[in-house]
Parts: sequence; structure tokens; C-alpha cells
Amino acid sequence: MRRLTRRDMLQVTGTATLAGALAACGGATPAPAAEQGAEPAAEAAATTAPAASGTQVELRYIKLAMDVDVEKFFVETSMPAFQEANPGITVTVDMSDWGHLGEKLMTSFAGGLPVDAVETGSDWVGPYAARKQFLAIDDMIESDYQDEIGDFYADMVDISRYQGALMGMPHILDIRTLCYRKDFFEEAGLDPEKGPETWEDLVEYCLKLVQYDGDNITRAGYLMSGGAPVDATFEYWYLLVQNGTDVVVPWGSWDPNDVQVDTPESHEALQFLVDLVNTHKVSPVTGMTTKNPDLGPLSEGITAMNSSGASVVGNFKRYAPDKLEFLGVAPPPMKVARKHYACPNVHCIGANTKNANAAWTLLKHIVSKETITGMLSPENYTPPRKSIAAEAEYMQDPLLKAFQAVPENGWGTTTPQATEWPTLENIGNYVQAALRLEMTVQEALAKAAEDTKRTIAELVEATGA
Amino acid sequence: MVTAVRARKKQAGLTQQEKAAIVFVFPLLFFLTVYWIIPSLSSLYFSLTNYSVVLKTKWVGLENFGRLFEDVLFWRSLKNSAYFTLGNIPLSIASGLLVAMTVNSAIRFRNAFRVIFYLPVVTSSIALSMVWLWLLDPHFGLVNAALGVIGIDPQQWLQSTTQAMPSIVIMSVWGGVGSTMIIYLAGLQGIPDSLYEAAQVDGANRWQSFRYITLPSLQPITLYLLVTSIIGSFQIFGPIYAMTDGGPAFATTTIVHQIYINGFRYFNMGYAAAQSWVLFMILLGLSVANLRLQVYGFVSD
Repeated sequence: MRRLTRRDMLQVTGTATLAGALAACGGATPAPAAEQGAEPAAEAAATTAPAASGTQVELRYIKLAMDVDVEKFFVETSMPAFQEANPGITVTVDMSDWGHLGEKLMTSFAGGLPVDAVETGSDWVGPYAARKQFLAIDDMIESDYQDEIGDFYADMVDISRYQGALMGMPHILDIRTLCYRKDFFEEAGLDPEKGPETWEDLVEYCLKLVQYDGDNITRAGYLMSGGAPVDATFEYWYLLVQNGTDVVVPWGSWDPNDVQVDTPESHEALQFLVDLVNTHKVSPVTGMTTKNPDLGPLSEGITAMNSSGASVVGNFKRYAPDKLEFLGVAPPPMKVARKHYACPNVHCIGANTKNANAAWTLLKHIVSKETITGMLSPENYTPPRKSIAAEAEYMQDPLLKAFQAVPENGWGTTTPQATEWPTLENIGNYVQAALRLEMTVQEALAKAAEDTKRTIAELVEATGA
Repeated sequence: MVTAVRARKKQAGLTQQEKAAIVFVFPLLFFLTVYWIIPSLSSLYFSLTNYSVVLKTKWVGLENFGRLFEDVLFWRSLKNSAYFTLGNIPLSIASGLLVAMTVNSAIRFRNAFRVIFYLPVVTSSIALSMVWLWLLDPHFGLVNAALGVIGIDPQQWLQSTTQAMPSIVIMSVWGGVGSTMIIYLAGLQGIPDSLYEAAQVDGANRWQSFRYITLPSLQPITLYLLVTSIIGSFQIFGPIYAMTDGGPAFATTTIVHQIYINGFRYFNMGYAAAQSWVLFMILLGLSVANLRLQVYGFVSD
């Protein structure tokens, strides 16, 4: 037998390394969804229903992490109920938070991990649909959900469409409006049953409510949560829609020339925010954090007003029940339009699913009256279904009904469809620059518009949207 | 004679020692190939494409590199990275040396101090960032409370465009001082006592001993720390991600943060890869410059 020479040994080692490297990089990963073919929806939908075939189907469900009690209901009640009703389907739940959802979806699609069901935001739908990563569910609705779909707020369903096709089912409504402390209003000589109606009222109220220790604000008149770029984006968003303009770009438009970041209305909205902070000095530019992390700014009393979601009611009930009587919920103040923020979380089916029918079965369970009521009631979240809003016990609270009035009266928002969250965060950085007087409103919005046009153009070029 | 020995060896094949060496090297070679060489070469290829992970990839040549020149945020991030590096390195090295000299001297509880100073190094940087986030809270942070005691108004710290980066520098210096200390400590213990004794006999004071014995003796260590600190500082990401996410108003966005944003939020992997290669070239240039300074004696005494 021939002895191994140094060259032989090096050749063997090199070949083994290369083979190992290729194996590690290759694997059995299928091609990304968008490259699998032009009609991923049809391909996925053509799969056999699990119950019919009798085979065990495994689904991967990417779900957003929520409050402990919500999770408890989900894990202990909702999922076992689904498994019992559908013994042929096994669901693996992959939890995520908003900050990492994009990464998780990207690596899933790239790595061939099925995204059978995913909870996301309605304002995320556009770019993912444009990249052909979500399935249209119109056929499924038509086949067995016609009776149910009418129970959802039509606006909140339509907000999840892409080029006319429905890409997801609303699950939870994030409705925000002006909330305030009645006791602070009374102290300041204001009517505790009525919030400010207009931007001018808002300033007037704030000036009466704000409290200082020297130059430091100890209680904000209206707390502008601009500490993080994403929060600054939201504060700016509320004012944009109240000033009668679209957020970034008209809904459904993918034309970079339609970007409305740098318009007279948007200038006026941002200038109002800048003035609140710098001229009227009714909110610190930094926002304010509560000393007790369980409490919100209103329940701790560090602000007299802010824009909150319905969970503020749940927060008072749980951590400051003695102050619940002081919580007021008002309609959105207006400049041109009485609007605020109302967007649903939606559940979508990934285009790389191999079990579209089973995924649809899961989606129907998630958005069923029982599941939504069970999951939303602990935190007092707002439901997307009219019947729950009307009948559920927890929704009989007048405070929660005041939130529900936002979509019922058409006081909701407009959302951009052609932008992803990083683009909105980028705009938030420019909002922060204007708020800190690092840039003028005009400079900040001109730069924001330039960046936004570029990113939309890139997205359109890449996806052909 | 030597040639003849080599020829005999070649004929006889590998020695047991050589075979063993190759077997021992193989795992490292494998992981180096899989986790470093292939990804590095891949990223070079991707930097010349519009690779976005999920869509079809198109060759764009040097377009991504050209775009860097027009990208205001990229230049802002470079400036912020340089700012962090220039703030972090002198403070880290100076404080590390100071602490090392302190815990190298005959003080009580010396070992306890060594452990205490080293603790932040073995703590997760995200956990440290969270602690500092609370410490620097503009409204009820301990730092502002302490300043209040001596009559200084509360500062905005991480919420201020001018104070955010210095705040992160301070946190990084505090978190990294243990690591610098331990390296300097090893160096200090390698300096022969006889040098200090001779200096003492010659009438040198403590400053002169430090200036003419300690500092020159630690020069190779300082150079090593300089090179690794420059690389580490330009690669700062964890605290930025956890504490400010590049804000407020882009005041703390660094080059690695921009690479992350472009790669994992915008999915512009091609562009992010181009930024990574520019960062690599910058670090390579700075490291080579450092070593050249050493060779040409600018650093050496």
C-alpha cells in the first residue's frame, strides 16, 4: 500500500474542506419564493388539504409577542382548541417582536423555512406582496368566508389589499386617539368631559396644563413621544392626517413622484410639532419615561394628554385602578380632518407555504370571534370585528367604545403602502432633527423626501411593483 | 546534503508529526473556510450586485461603491465612527493603564479590585447598555440625580444630538477598561524590577520611572491595543443598536449600524456588502499605518 505523501494529504484535506464548505452552504434549501415561479399562490393553493389526505401537516406560524395574559390565552386555550379541532395539523409557533420581524421573514424566505402564517402590520403588506412573498386570500374568502368577512370593518380589510387582492385578515386594531387626565383638566379649570377640538385648542389646553420645576417640565401638557425615531414618526403621522394629507405617499401609489413628505401640509404639521416643543414648551423633546415601568405616562401622571391606544384603559385597570375614573378619551383633535391612527395587525399566508389550505384553516381560527375576544380582552385591545365591538363584555366599557368610535366614524388614518418601516424610521430621524432645531423644517422634510423617493424607486425597480 | 535528506523524506512520505499537524489544522481550516473565506468572497461578489436575499440578483458592477459617495448617511456614519474611535481609544488606553498600574501596586483587596474592574467585560454588552440606558435617563436617571446634588441641571444624554455619542463613549470606556487593564497588567508584571531599582539608584523619581521605563516597556502592548481598539471601535454596534438605534437625528449612526440598516432592514445586501468592504479597507489602511509607524520608529523610543 502506497504511503501518503504531503501532497496527497494536502489534497485530501483541501477536498474535504471544500466539500464540507459546499455542503454547509448548500444544504437542501429550496429557491426563494419569488424565484420559484411567477404563480406561487396557485402552486401553494394546489396542495391537498390535510384532513382530506389524512397526512399530518406541519405549519410554522410567526407570531408577534404580546402581553403575558394574551400569551397565556394563546398558549393555554387558543392553540389547544385549534389542535383538538384539527388533529391533522401541527402548529409550531415562532415568536418574534416588531424589531426583528423583518429579519425573521427575510431569513425564512431566503432559507426556505415555510412562512405558513405570519402576524404583521397592514402597513407591511404592500412591500411583501410586491415581492410576491404573501399569498392573496380572495379565493379562500370566496369559497368559505363570505358570511364572516362582512363582520370586519371594511376599511380595515381594504387596508390589507395589494393591487386589489386581499393579502391578510385583520386581527387586532391599533387605534390611537387623544387621551387625558380629567383631574388635571379640572385643576386647570378645563371641562373634564371634553378634549381639545382643534390644534389651537390643543395648544391652549397644553399651556394651562403643563407644569415646570424651573426650566424642567415635570408634567407635560401633551406628551410628544419623540425619544426614538419610530415614536417621532408616529407623532408626525397623527398631525399629517389631521392636516388632511397622506402619510408619505397616497395609499396604493408606488410612484416616487407622489411622495408627499415635502408639501405645505406636511411642513405645517411638522412646524406645529416643533412649536409645541420649542416655542410653547409643553413637552420635552426627549419624551418622558415613567419611573414605574408598569405605568404609562397618563397613569403615572407625568402628562395631562397624549396619544394612546386602547391598551391605556387596560393599563389603568391593572396598575392604577384608583385613577381609572380620571382617564378621559376624546375624539382626535383636528386642523383639517378629524383623524388619528387606526391600523390593524393582520395575519397573512407566506407564499412559500406548502400547505395553503391548512394555513387558511389556522388563519380562520386566529381571527374567529372566540380567539380574538379571548386574546384582546385582557389588555382591552380593540377588535377588528363589529360583532365583538358590539357584544363582547369587555367592550361595554364606555372608554373602549370611545376608541371604537374612531373607525366607526371614519376617523382612521391613511397609510403608505409603498414604504417599509425603515423608511418611516428614517423620516423619524429627520423629524427628530427638526424637533432638536438641528435642521429647519424645510431642510428636514426636503432631505426626508429625497431619501423616501429613492427608496421607493429602488423598491419599484427591484419588484416591478 | 540537505537536498538529499529532503528527497529521502519526500520519498518516504509524511512523518507522523506532519500528519498529526495536518489533522490538527483541519478543523480550523474547515471553519475558517466555511465561516470566513467563503462568506468574505461571497460578500465581495454581492457588493457588485443588487443582491436582496429574496429577489433575483442582478450584476451592477461598481454601482454600489459609486452610490456610497452620494450617500449622506454613509458619510455621517463614517464621521460618527471616527468620532467614537477618537473618543474611545485614548480614554480606554489611558484608563486601562491607570487601573492596571493601580491594581499592580501593593494595595489592599488588590485581587478584589481586579475582579471588579474585569466584571463588565464578562457581562453582555446588551445588558450593560440597558443599565446605562436607565442611568442616563434624562428625567430620573442616577447620573442626572448625582449632577443635581452639585447643582448641575439635568442633561439629555442619549436624547441629545451632541451628548449621545460622548455618552456611548463613556459607557464603552467603562465597559472595556477591564479588558485593557488585564493586558497591561500582564505587561507590567513582565517588566523586571531591576530596571526600577537601577533607576531609583540613579535618582529617578516616579514620573521619570514611568516615562522612561514603564511606557517604553509597554510599547508593543500599547501598539497591539491601538490596532485592536481601532478595529473594535470602528465596528461598534451593540450599544448603538440597544441604546439609540442610531438616533437621535442620526447622531449615533455608525458605519456598522448603517450596514445593518441597509442589509437587514432595507434588504439591500449588495449595498451593505459594499459598505462592509469599504470598512474593511479603512481598517486595513489604519492597521497598516499603525504598523508602519512602528517600523519607522515614530512610536518606538
